[in-house]
Formats: sequence, structure tokens, C-alpha cells
Amino acid sequence: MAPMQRPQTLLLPCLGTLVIALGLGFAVPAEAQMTGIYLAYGDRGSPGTDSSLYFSTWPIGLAECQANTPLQVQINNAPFSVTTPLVYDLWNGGSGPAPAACQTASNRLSSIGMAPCTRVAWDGPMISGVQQVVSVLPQDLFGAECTASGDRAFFLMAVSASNDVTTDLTTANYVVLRVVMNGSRPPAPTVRDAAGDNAIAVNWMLGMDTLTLSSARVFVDRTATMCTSGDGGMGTSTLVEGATPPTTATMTVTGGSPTTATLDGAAIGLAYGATAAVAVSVLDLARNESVLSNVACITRVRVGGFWDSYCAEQGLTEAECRARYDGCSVSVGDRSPGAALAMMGLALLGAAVRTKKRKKS
Amino acid sequence: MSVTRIAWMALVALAWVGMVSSAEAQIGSEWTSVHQYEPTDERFTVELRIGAYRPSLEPAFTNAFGGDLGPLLALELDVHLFRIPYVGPLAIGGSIGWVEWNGAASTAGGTANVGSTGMSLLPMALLAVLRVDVLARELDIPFVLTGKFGPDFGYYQTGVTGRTDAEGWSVGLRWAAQIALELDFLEQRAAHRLDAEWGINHSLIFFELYGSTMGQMGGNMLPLGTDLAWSLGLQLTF
Repeated sequence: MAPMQRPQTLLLPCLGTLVIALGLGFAVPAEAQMTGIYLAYGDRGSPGTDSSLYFSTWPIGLAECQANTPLQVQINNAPFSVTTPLVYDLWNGGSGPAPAACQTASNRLSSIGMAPCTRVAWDGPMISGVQQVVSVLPQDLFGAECTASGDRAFFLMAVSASNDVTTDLTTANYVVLRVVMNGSRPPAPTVRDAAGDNAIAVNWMLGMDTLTLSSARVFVDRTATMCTSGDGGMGTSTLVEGATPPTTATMTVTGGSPTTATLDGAAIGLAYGATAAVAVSVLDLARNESVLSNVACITRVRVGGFWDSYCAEQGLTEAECRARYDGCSVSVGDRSPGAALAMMGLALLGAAVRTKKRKKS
Repeated sequence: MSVTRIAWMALVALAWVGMVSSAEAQIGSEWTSVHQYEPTDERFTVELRIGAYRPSLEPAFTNAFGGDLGPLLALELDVHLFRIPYVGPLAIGGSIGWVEWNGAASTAGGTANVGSTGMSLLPMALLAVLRVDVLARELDIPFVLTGKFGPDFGYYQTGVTGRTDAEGWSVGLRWAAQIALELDFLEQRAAHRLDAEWGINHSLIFFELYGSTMGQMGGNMLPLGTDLAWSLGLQLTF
């Protein structure tokens, strides 16, 4: 008797239809599903990087605002008007979760003196039908002093005339741009003294009110005399607690709220027993940089491990230990898996050649 | 009764007879298609193991790594040469493993928190293996006893954070004694099916004691051998 195939024959087309339907759903371009102009948020890079191509959800920092670095806003689906060339107008709708509805003409009407929306001194020609990047100046949003920290809802409108206060706009002709500015520096961290050889672990504690940081910069002063023992604490350093950080850092540590950096004593030019001054600054998500932390001391010391312990136990100096175990047993060099793999490969090759020779004979 | 009706009844009857005979034929073929289990040839044995390993480097080893036991992870493959009647298979095999120990580094002045020290070892061995499975094969006692002997090689590296102090090879001899429990008795039919479908004759769990003279037989080699170590794992014969 033939097996019952009907459920399978029904199931397969159903699954196929579902897959096709899902595929079509995913295949529809996002732009085709949008109506009106909308922001295509580009990524200007995570905080700490210098890329600033497009506006993103990261907050603006104080330095960025003071430098008035333009925010690049990418706009898609710009409307088109046959009769009148359109321009962009930028209006401030205020802060908070429920900003004023600037698309409504009465909210922009300044003649009554109490309009909840205020026009930002910015406009530009609109190029419809193409993806357009427009620049918005931070000081147009937050004032020349850049003191107005907080969030703002800005309405980017496509209107027939600049400062249009008579037209109620539909969703096709405006988009809301929410910008956050953080104008305050994060608190400086507290650094602890450290010692080590090729991996000196410098650790610091973040301020209690620091929630999220993007990176930290570590500064080393090898010429400092403040860490030299016997100076009675009267030595000096180019690094000063609470000062503006130098422009060039010895090391930058990125990642979520970093609290440690590993310095190579040899790479930064320290001899065994030598000291250096170290200080740290931290950067928040808005790239605001703290002032310098306290200045701590690092010391390059010879770190001993199993090998030192074993050689000492054998009554050998390090050089004697190497000499004794040198040759087929020990070689000293960088710790690389490549050397191990090469040795294993040679051993296997030797075994294979020997086997082949035996077979031939 | 019309001719058409008679024709329909005849057709239905024929269809019924056909279906019944077809079903009977299928049942018959199912019964007759059952084959008696014939074990496949046993050619290889593979072992996956985990265990503790501490080389004979005392007291420096304990000073640096405390009670760190590894663990040692290893893989062994044996090729059966021939079967000794009423004893078991004689094989040659190779094994490779990995173990690493870690501890806190220190300075001459006793400064703490200056990184860590570590040592890693890749032990490798070529082994002659005798598996005595006569108990399981002839007396249905599911235990297999195994002895192993052969040259042992070890490649090691040691150092502290950011620096390698030494690396190299040590050579010696390894011995091992193993007892394994054959799991076939738990579900004989499943074991046969595993053999028929995958060629795996037997699966076992084992416990092994072993020792090594790696680096202890003269020459300037680091003594990485051990008087006694143990491991346990899974063994498959196929």
C-alpha cells in the first residue's frame, strides 16, 4: 500500500509559500516602506574615533560644539514640488519627551510672542529625489556658548519659503531630529602605582558618577623626578593633576569604561629599576575629556616566574641555566606557537621519511 | 443486479485482494529482511581523555603554580596490528595532549600584582599497546585491561606575562596501565546498531594510570616526566 503522502504534499507548498512570502517581505526595500522625508542615520563611528560623516545617536561633546563642527545629516525621500522650489527650514521644538509640534503653523507663529517653536537660523535648498546630506551647525542648535546641555527636538522642514509660519505641514514635509549635547567633562580617575616588566598593569578607579566612558588616554613622563626615591617628594613631572591633558598620549585604551592599561616597560624606554610618572584622562561618549588624574609612579622591575625559581633551585644563574639547558632541550626567544608547530612538523616529517625508507628497503 | 454493479463489485474485490496480498508481501519481506548481526573488523581504537598531570620539577613547580593540576587533555589513536588468540589485539599508537599551569609572578623585592607565570606542555608518545579483551569476548565480563609502553616526547614553553623564559623538548619513556568498562552490555542491540551503521564495534569508559621518564634519562633536558599520573575518558573501537 502506498504511504499517505497527502499531508506532505500539502505541507511543502504551504512551507514554500511561507518562505516566499517572508522572502518578499525582506526583499522590499526599506525606502519603499517609508513615506515622507526621513533621516538615514549614518554612523560617524564610535566615540573616540575621528570619523564625523553623519549625524548619529551619540551625543555631541563640549569640544565639538565649541569648535562648531558641522553635523552631517543624511536625508532620504525628499519631497518634490513642480510649482515652487522647496527649501529646508530648521525649527527648535524644545526639549523633553513631548516637544512642541512645530509642524503646526500656529506653533511657529512668533507674532504672538509666545510661540513654543523658535526658528533656528538655518535654511538651504532642497534637492528632491536624491539622497541629500545637509550640514547643521551645533552652535545653531545649542547657542554660541554651548552651555545648553540636554536634548533638543529639531524639526527639519521642507517648505516653499524660509520662515514659513502659515503652512501646516504633513508628514511628507518634515522630520524630527533629536540631538543631545553633553557639555560637562567626566570626573578624572584615580590612578595607582604599578610595577612590572614587559607588562606593567596600570589600574585606575573611575568617578562614582561615571556611568559609561568610551576610552582612556594614558600619559607617561620618563623624565619625571617625583618618583625617584630619596627626593623627599620634591621631584617634578610634566604631568600635573587636574591640568588639561597633553595632546599626545602614550597609549589610548578603548572599550566600555576601561579601567586598566598594560605598558611595556622596555618599549617605553625604562631600564630595570627605573621609574616614570603616569597619569590618565578618560573620555565619555560625547568625547568630553576629563582633566588629568593624580600622577602615580610606575617602576620597571625584573619579574620572576617558574623559570627563575627553578634555576635558583638548581643553584644556577639565569645565564648558566640557559647554557645548561640549551641545545636540543631549550632555546630562548619569543613565545610563539609557530616554533612549537615547526618542531612538531619536523618530527612528523622525520618519522614519515624513516617509514618510507624502511618500506623501500 | 446490473452488469455495471457486478463489474464494480468485482473491481473492489480485486483491489482488496491486491491490497491484502501486497501487505502480506510487505510483512513477509520485513521479516525475511532481518539479518543476523555480524561484527565488523576491529582496526582502530581512539581515546579521548582528561586527567591531572604534574611534572617532577619540585619544589619550584609548587612554588610557582601551587596545586594546579592542569588538566591535561589528550587524544590517542591506535592501529591494530593483529589479534593474539584468547588475549586481545596488539596495536601501535600515537597520542598528543596539552596541559597548562598558571600562577602568580613575583619580584625579588616581593612586589605583588606584577603579572602571572605560566608553563604549557604538549606531551606526545608513540606506544605499543596490548589490549586484553578476552574477558569481554569469551566470558561476558565487560572489562578490558590494557598495557602501553613507548617513547615519550614533550614540547614546553614557560615564561611570565609578556616574556618567554624558555622553550624546548624533553624525551623519555612512558608506561601506562588501563582498565576499561565496555558499555555494550547496557544496550546490546544499540551497540550492534552502532557497529552496523557507523562501524563502531565497542564503546568504553576507562581509567588509566601512567608514568613518564621524560627529561629524566640524562642529557640537558627539563625533567617533565612524572612518577604517577591519571586520566579517564572515552574509548571507541572501530
